[in-house]
Amino acid sequence: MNLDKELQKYEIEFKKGFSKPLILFTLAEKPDYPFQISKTVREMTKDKISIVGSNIYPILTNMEKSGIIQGIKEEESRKRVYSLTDDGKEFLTSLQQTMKEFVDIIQEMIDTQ
Amino acid sequence: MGKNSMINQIDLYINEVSQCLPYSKEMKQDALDELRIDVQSAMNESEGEAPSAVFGSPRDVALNISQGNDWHHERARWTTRFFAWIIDFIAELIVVIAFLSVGLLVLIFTIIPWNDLMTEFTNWESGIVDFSLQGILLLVYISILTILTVIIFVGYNVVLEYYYGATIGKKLFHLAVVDQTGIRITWKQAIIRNFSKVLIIEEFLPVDVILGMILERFDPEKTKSQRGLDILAETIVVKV
Repeated sequence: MNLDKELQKYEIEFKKGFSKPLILFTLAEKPDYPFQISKTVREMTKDKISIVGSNIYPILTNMEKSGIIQGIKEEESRKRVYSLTDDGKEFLTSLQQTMKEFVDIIQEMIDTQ
Repeated sequence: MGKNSMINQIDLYINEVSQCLPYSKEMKQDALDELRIDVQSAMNESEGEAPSAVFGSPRDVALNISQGNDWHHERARWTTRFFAWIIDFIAELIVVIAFLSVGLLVLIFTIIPWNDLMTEFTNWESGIVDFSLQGILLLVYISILTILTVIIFVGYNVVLEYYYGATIGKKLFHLAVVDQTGIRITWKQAIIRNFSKVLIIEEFLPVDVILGMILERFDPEKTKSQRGLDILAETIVVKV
């Protein structure tokens, strides 16, 4: 069995769940346009998580539909800038809480192994 | 890379993405504007690679754009599709009749000496069919005309649907043929969904429609207004 390949698969799988929360973290810091959001996520995670090219579009539009973010087109730069809505800020607080509880448990499990 | 050539490259790329989305300009403008800014930013940070290497293939990008938008949410109704088909059928007939008239004129005036041929055919009293060169030529010519007629009927649909997402009739009724994911169909899909039009005057089409209507009963949500071959090709006809 190729362990490296297997490890990669596991990594991809557990990383997947983080891209949405990370987008929200980014937007909590600063409203931005899609390319810049992807870039910030990549930089924040030291290249560990990168959302390639147009893959961020469906994520953003789904978040917009559920009302946690909103995209507003800036007249001057013609950029569509996304920011957290009030609902989104509230949502993010609960999400952070849930994530923290989860990550703490995992952390404990990894430490005791 | 020069700045101008990069802008040209981006224009071409956006255009390719746009062609994968057979919707009106107004519908897709915002999404394409957004894409342009992102591609420009991505290109500025890349080292002279092509946009599709930096940002993904136009089809993938179109798919991502389509996934977020519900442009393709409203299926065309059977009645609308029927009216669109009538217009297409008339258009096809006009092309075929024009084509056959030319074919016939060519036959009369150039290829085969008509008088000789008539004698060939009236010479049948002997009971021996004489396959003269002219007779064979005539048969070959008629076969070619027939094949070309079929190609016009099927090709009209396949080519227009592939390149423009709609035939003339569909365009008039603001319909488009798209993949189930909402993007432009491939050659393969265009050919599969039009296969019931292969016989000269589309005799299989009613069967295909009735099959679709029956299958619709089982899963009205998913297979609404899809012909049998639409289901097979994973294509839908939507209002745009």
